[in-house]
Amino acid sequence: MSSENNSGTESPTEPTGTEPTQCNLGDSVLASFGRLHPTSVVFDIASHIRSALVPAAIAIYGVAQGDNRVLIFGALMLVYIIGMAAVRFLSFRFRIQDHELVVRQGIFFKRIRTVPVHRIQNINSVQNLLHRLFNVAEVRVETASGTEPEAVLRVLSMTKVQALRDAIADSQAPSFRTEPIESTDVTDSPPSISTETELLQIPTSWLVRAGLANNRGMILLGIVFWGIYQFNLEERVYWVVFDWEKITEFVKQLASGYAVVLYVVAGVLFASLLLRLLSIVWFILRFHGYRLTRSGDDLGISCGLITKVNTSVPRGRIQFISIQQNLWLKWMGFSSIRIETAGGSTQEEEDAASSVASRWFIPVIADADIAQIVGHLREGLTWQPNDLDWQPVSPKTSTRLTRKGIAISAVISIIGLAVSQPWGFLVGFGALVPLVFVAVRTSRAMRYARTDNGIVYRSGIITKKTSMTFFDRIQTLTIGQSPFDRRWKMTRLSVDTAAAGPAQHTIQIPYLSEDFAENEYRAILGKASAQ
Amino acid sequence: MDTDNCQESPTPTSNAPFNNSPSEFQSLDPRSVRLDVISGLISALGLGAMILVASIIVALVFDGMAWIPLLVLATGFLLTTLLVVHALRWPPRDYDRYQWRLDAVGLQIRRGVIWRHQISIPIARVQHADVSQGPLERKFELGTLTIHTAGTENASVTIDGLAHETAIELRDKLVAQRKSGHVV
Repeated sequence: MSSENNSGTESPTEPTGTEPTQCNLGDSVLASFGRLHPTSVVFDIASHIRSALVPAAIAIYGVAQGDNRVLIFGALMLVYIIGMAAVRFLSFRFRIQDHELVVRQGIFFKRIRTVPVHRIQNINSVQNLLHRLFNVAEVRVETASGTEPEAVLRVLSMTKVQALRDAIADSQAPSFRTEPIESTDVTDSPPSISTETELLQIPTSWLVRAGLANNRGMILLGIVFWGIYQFNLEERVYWVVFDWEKITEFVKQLASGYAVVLYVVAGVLFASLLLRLLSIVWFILRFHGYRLTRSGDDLGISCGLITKVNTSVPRGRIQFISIQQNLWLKWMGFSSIRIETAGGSTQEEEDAASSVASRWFIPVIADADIAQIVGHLREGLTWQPNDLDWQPVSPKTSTRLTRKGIAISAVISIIGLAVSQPWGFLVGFGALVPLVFVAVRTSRAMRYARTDNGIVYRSGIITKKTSMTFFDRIQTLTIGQSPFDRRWKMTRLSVDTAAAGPAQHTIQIPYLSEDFAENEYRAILGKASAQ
Repeated sequence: MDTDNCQESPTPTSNAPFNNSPSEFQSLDPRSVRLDVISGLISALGLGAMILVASIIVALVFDGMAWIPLLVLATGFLLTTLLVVHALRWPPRDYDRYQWRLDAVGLQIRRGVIWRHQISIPIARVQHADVSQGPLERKFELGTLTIHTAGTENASVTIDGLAHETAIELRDKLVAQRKSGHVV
């Protein structure tokens, strides 16, 4: 959609002056072309230095070999990077004019990018420790188009960040918006842009629970290992931690029968406890001081202990809402909410800010508060999951999945028999019970409901995921049958939206009864094409 | 799925923009069967030729062990025969199950012999649509219609084997009927 509008290079370079400025930007910092913050040069170099790591390593190696030519090459490289950063800083200009964000950059190859403000999906700002030292932030402006942010402003002073947000919020005034959904309900609640209401604050105690429930500790462990390898510390670390002589000696001392088992169990327990502790640390680092606010139609999130993330999501852009709860969270009475907007970053390349804006929209929330928050995510949306008309999948599903489980265990038995002659098939028998259990529970967990706004799908036994999308978000609708489906008279109903996919739950409902699926297909289609 | 049920229009089309157009599912242009047979044969024979060349090379490498290139040749011959049979017999069956319909709700495409599906694109969600023609398609006066949506998995949906003028007509209808404004 945005390809028609926002990547033009022939856009107005100079203000025409004839058109009256609709937004009140007379005294704003952004009425005229603005520059980035002077420290931009430093951060630009920092962001490009990573690509120079390999040549730098070669240079160091060369110097160690006594080859000074390499050193000269490295120095030239550094000068080039610094020079490019300076050029980028000097040539970079941006402003907001006539509801468009205009970004100008380049000296030889001038590039002017205009992003219509109403196309902007998210404005993210990230502040790491160094950014905070200079009171600046890296800002990304995202539209629905594809994978990379429309404009990266690296870096802006915090006053300018706020000014940019305000200017964009002003430009996105409801009179200018042409969203069909919002125009209906404007009368009973006139949206006021300036008032910011706080929807949610996450206390540290919730983050501790989220850390316990989610196994994010591996990530921190991964970062530690990465650091060890990055700085070639692995040998030293192994020396300290894995002194094999000491370890074997230690094991020999206690290698008397069951004691070993005990120690192994204790070790595993300790390791998992440590991982959970790391997971808590990860959650606190990432989401400390989490605040979700709403001003008019914009949702804002700010969080982070060391790297501060500040992101805004226009709620008219939300494609998909997913409420997820694993067994641990269920036990504690908490859930997490993920959302998807169109475009932005893809899963592979998500930065801290867009990750917070979608994947970790609300990392942890008490079950009692969900209804109230979800009500804010979309005009006219209410969330009463118990009042929904939940429809099960075909009653034959558990039979079908059980047969599949039996077939899998038979295959395992045959493989087991091939590996170990007399009793190998027992492995398959052992697998039978859990496989059938999972089959029955999976088929029972799947639920579908159609509401006034859209459709809701719930699935999962260990992690229960309840996801909803809306009729006006449905891009295509498909029903399909595999040969197996035909035999069981089942149909798969799938919905495609513009959501980029970080919520890790798609609305693809398998095993629906044939007739039911066809009726729903027609009903959804009627609603989707009406909007 | 129940084929008869699908023929009904999803919503009553009293003030439908496509009253004149048939709301029954339509088949593709019959010429598309011949096109598919020809392109299937071309790829089957291409693979056959490649296998022949491969077996000659193998024969030169394994000098004195005649059974290895013979085995390769025999397998290749069998595979090529299967592919030729498939190229002759598949397109008519595919044609029988490949249908489309344009009505007030949108464009619907039904397809699949073994794995069957029916996809529907509401007209309001059509971003743009284009018609393309390959060299063989030009010869048969056929065209491929590609419809783009803002979706992710089905960001573009194609119908191949339409008569070229039908494809163009369909494209113009789709683009003219879609609502302007934001789709995301």
